[in-house]
Amino acid sequence: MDADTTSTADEYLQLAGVTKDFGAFRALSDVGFTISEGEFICFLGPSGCGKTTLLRCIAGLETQSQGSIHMGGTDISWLPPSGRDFGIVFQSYALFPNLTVSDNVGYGLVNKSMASADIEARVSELLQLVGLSDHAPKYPGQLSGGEQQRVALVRALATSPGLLLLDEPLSALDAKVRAHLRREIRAIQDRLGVTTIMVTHDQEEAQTMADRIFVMNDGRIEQMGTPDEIYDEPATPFVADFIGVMNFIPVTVIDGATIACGDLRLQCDTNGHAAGADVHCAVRPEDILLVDGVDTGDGANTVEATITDLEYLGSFVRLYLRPQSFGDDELRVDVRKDLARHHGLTVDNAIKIRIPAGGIRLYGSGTGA
Amino acid sequence: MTTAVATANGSRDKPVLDRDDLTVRWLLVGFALFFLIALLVPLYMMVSRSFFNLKGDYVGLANYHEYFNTPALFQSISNSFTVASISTAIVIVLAFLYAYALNRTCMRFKGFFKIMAMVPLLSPSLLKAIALVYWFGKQGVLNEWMFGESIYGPIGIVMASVFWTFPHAVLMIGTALALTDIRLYEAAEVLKTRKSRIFFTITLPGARYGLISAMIVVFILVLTDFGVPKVIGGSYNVMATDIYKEVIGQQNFEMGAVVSVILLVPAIIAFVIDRIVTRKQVALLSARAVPYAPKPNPLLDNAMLAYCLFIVFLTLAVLGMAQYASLVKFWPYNLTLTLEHFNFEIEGAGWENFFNSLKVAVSVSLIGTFVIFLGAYMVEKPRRDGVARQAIQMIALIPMAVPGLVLGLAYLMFINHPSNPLGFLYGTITIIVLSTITHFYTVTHLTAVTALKQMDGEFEAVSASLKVPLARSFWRVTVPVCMPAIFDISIYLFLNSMTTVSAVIFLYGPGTKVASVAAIHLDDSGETASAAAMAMLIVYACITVRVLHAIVTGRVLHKVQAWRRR
Repeated sequence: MDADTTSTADEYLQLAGVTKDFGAFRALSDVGFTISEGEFICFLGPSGCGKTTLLRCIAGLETQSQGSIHMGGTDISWLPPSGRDFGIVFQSYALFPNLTVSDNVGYGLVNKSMASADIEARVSELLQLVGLSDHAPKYPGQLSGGEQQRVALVRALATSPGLLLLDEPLSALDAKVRAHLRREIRAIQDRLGVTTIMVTHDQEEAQTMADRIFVMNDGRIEQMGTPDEIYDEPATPFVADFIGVMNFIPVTVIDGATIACGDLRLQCDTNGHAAGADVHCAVRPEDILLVDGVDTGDGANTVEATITDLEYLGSFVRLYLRPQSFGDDELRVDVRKDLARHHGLTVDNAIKIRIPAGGIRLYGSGTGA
Repeated sequence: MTTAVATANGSRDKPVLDRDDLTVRWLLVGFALFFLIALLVPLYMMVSRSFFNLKGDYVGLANYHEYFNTPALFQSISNSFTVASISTAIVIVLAFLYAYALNRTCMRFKGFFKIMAMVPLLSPSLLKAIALVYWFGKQGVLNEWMFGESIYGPIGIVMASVFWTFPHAVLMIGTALALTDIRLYEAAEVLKTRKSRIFFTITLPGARYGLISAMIVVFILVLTDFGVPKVIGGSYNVMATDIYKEVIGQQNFEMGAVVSVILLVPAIIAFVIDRIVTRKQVALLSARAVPYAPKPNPLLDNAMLAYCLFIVFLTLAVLGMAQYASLVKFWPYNLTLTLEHFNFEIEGAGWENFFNSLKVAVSVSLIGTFVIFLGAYMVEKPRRDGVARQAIQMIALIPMAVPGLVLGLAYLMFINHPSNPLGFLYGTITIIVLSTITHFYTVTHLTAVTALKQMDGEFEAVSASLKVPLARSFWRVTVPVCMPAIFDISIYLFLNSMTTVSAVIFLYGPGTKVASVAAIHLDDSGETASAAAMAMLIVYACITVRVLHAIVTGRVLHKVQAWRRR
């Protein structure tokens, strides 16, 4: 057996140099990655970033213009969808409306020349898996959106494919149903151990479900990493801005440990940026602290600011600040609701905040958000 | 090992096709051949013939020069446009009121009026012309209403055309009026807008694309119609009858081709405008629109009821007179009733014409529905061969722009060409069926495409991922889900095949003449009562099949569309 066709569990799905052009438009450019068996991967990115195209290339529903795709050690780059081993779930459910729930689930099994008793057993096992046994004789139109998507999920799993592809499966559902189904899909995936790729534009969805997130932008993968890595150490300004909320402030590097924003000096790790360079300082709203009697810090990195607006966001309050000596930039700061109440924060209050050095990351200019 | 095979294939840089991809490709080739034989080559031969003389020498535009220098022919252009314009103006007003009553008022018996508006579709256009002759002709019941004018000529053509195009206009305007958002009206009412202003600023603009479409379609229907001017046109020549006279009367195929090309031009222009307008109409209405629900308005509702009753009365008066005429022994001298006109003891006419019509209509309906639906599926659903599928889609739209008479003449030239290996098909039922399917291809194709577009676009992807062959999903899912559209297409094809004259009048052979053509010939030879009887046979068949079709449709849909019930 050749070395390059040997597959290990670590190289279950392998893409190299995958590029897709639609006429003059380049939807994917030079995408490459490796996925291990049993992993749950999310392609995350804004609409038009190429994530669905990438999924469709893996499924064979689109053919890449260049590059190769290997699955389980086999080159599947040029195989039609029917020659690949995957199950797929779409945002629209794509359930056959004229077939009952159990006929939908058994649709791919009938073709495998299974005995009808075996099919029946498999279908009821699958329906039980998603708690829809009572709905077997109903038509899809009689089910709620969440129930329909569960049927679509087990229909895709019925033939025990090696790869499960989910194309924005939760986007058409209500917020509550969506949150519930997230956990359910992840639990089923854990139980069956099927390698799964899900496309989504919802970062919360990606963070709660994925083992690893591939953040995409403009046809490229910007960063691959665990949800924590993506959130805490965004590799590019795009990732920093797309995941969670981020303040970007244009600053100048003074020396190895200091940056300047107007008259203000801030201490932080400049991470190799040369002195005198114009860069962007990124800091998350929840990392900025309110300076009060308890937290005075050492006096470093404190900024005086005026509140221009407040947003009540459930458990916390988002302050829009106009810091003095900051130019025109607005700063967003998240404060716990009880703290905000305790300090009686309202518009036009002057307050003092501290930007901890550990919460600051610098990104080169020109790529700012 | 599979891995070794995969490595060997690894350097391949072309997508591997599976069995479904190959099936699709072969079917696309099949459809390309179909359109080549059934449409493109005949049309090409017809157009090119207009540049040759009788001996077959190329003469450039000489035939056109001759045409425009022959006042008798040239006059027909303005005649055709005159009757088409007047008919269109009248029909649009009448049909708009009728459609408005059906869609925007709380008039009673809407279901009844909806059905009755479609009654004229059950008979050939020439039947209306014959009936009008009995009402208003020299010996007509109401001849004095003509104030000395003759029904033979533009007046008769316009009246008959109005009758037979009315249902087409009602359908199209009705669709436009049904597609509206009640929130527009609620917003206007909240702003205290007067009713008349609402009508002119919301209702009319909202329906404008439907109105323009209906105008274009009616105009072209009248412009290219043959049956009506043939029966009631008298000495008033129009382009459609000119083609017939040149070809059948004088055997001058070249001049027939010239008139055909000239008739083709406005038809194509109108068709292009219609396509543009239709595309805009689709974009007009968002998916979130709330449908309009009219509020009761006794004055308006009752006025509309009276109006619709009047229209239905006229429709039935026409049909009733044709029926009466076919039963009267010798109009107007001996009014005893008899069935003898149904014996057709005249040279070249008989019950076999009627049975030929049935044969043609059933074949067109069965074969055509299958071919057209499969064609629409090929255009709409497969993943690969995008360019070829788009080309087929474009070609499928062409038949709508080709007047039936022109298509018929094109077929005649095609099938009679000495080097055509298909020449043996001349005068057979096969060629009549083929031309009729082609003639009515576009409307039915678009119906099928619309139905297919409403289906989830990912069914084929899901099937492929489950390794289910495309054909299986086609029969198990696509066809059952699209069943209502399939039934609509089949009845449309049947009714039109029964009543059409234009494409088939050049194509029948010994023993394959159809009833509508026989009715023309009977009328031509003065056997008007027998012509009416022949036309009435068509009506009986259409009504019977329509009713049977409704019953079967209801039963089948009840079964295969159970999922639509909640």
